[in-house]
Amino acid sequence: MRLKGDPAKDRSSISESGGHILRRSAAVAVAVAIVAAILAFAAPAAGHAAGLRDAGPSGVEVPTWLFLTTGGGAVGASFLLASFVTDRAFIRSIHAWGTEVPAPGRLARWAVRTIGVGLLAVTIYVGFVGPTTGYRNFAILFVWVVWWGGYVASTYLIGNTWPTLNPFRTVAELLPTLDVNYPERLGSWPSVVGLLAIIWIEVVSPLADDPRALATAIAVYGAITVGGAVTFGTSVWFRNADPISRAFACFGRVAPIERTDSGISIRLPGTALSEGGLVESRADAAFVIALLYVTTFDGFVATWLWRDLATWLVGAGLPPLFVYFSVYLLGYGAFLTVFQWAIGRARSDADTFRSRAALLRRFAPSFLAIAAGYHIAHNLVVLIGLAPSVIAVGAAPLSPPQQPPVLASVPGWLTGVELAFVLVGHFLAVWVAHAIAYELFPARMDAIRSQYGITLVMVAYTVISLWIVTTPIVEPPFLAGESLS
Amino acid sequence: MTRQTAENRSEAGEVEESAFDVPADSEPIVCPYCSMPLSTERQRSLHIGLDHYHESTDREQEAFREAYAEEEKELSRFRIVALGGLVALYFGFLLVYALLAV
Repeated sequence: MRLKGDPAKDRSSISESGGHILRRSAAVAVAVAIVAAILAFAAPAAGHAAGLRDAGPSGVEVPTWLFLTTGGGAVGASFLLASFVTDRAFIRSIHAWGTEVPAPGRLARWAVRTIGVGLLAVTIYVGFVGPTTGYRNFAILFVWVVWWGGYVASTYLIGNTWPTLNPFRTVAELLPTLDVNYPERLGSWPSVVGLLAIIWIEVVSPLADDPRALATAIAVYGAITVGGAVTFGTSVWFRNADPISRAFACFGRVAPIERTDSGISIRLPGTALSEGGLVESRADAAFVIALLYVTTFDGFVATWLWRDLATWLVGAGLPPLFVYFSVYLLGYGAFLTVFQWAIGRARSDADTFRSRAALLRRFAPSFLAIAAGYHIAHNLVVLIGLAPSVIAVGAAPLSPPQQPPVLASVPGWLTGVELAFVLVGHFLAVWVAHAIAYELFPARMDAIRSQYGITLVMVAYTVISLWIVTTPIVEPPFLAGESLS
Repeated sequence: MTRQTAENRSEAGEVEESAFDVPADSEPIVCPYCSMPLSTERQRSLHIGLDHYHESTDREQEAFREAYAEEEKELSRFRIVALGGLVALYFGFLLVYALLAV
């Protein structure tokens, strides 16, 4: 099940189903010649979903390296701009701005819960008995377009409603709990392992195309989740072990609306990231880094660089799945190392006695804004392009049209909107890290210096991510015959 | 690993052990109000002024104002460099685009 903002998967798998539709309907259209001419120039066309790619080097004849450098430069410039804001009271007032409204009543919550459980039941049922073609199956469209593309966006654009909507939680709460003591020393490490496992399965198996596999995966995930929640208690399980709930809790911190104990608090987007509480342990920080990493990995496996590297490694006699798996883990190790380095830099540059662990806990959440920006960039065009399919297939899930309708061409300015979200995500991240530094360090110059390493990592992450989203998609090699499912 | 709970909250004056890591061979300057370890006298003056202004003595408040003013000078220098950086970035990119992306 895809959990993280993943460039290429959205194009290479969900959009593979969507892409097929689009390509097919485009073939019918006479205008295909013109489109093809543009796309042939722009980039090989998995097409519609590659919104950013069209905005990238290919569309405007900017060399790739320059496009990437510009992205990195923009992040660097936003750090310099933020460093001009040195008024603590002003920074604090921005982050404290907000209001609180009462929480919705019990009835509304139960209505939402019922909808959640109903949708889950329909999804699994249609996944098992509906058409086997991905783009005609409601389960595939619902999970990848509506849930992954749309709903996930709502968790960081509006607020995290998953604790209420989560059907697995609703079911678990209806069951008696065994209240087994959760092993304290595990902390939230199970969620880190779970996230890495889910994305691993999603990358190497046909979950985005095969309704049966998807329904099975949801059922297995559901059994583990409900089982865990019943055993250890719902709040413990969804706080520590369930990767999806953790991911949404993280994304929810970017959102302007947050459910608190006393009601619903409304703030400026992203400002809640500067507060402690979200990341409380090393494992929580590792989770945030994993969330960023899986996005990158999921996109990376669909680039030519990976194809060449994997082909070479497999040619040297290594089993393909081993190659995937070891690079997957090595990459995560590299991300952890780079973050550790940035935190070490921040520690020495700011001349502080605050521990690395404490700094990591505070600074890690700022990166979530970037992750949210990329998630939109990867999904907005898919979501809009396939929305007619969702409606047509959703209207008759068991006998959907042979060729569900798609938007043959989405307006070009949407690409601009996507790019804008990437930029806003970066600005937010830089600003949040800036605000955190001002909260942690008594000397303002120390606060600025602490950002050198972190900014450098953000610049690097931008360049890598922009490269991945703008690089033509290739089918990840060796997976067709090697699928786990 | 031990589960480290809430962040240290300097406003509230609570300092948690796990939030700080003082190497054995270093001699930190410790805040008299919340015993937060700090590296320099200046950091201490600023910290007291920012987090314990109302409880602090007149001398400490004076030291805070001095440190703050001194910091301001350093910040001005940094701002000039940062502005230079921004200008260089902007015109650098402008030039490169003018040359390459016609």
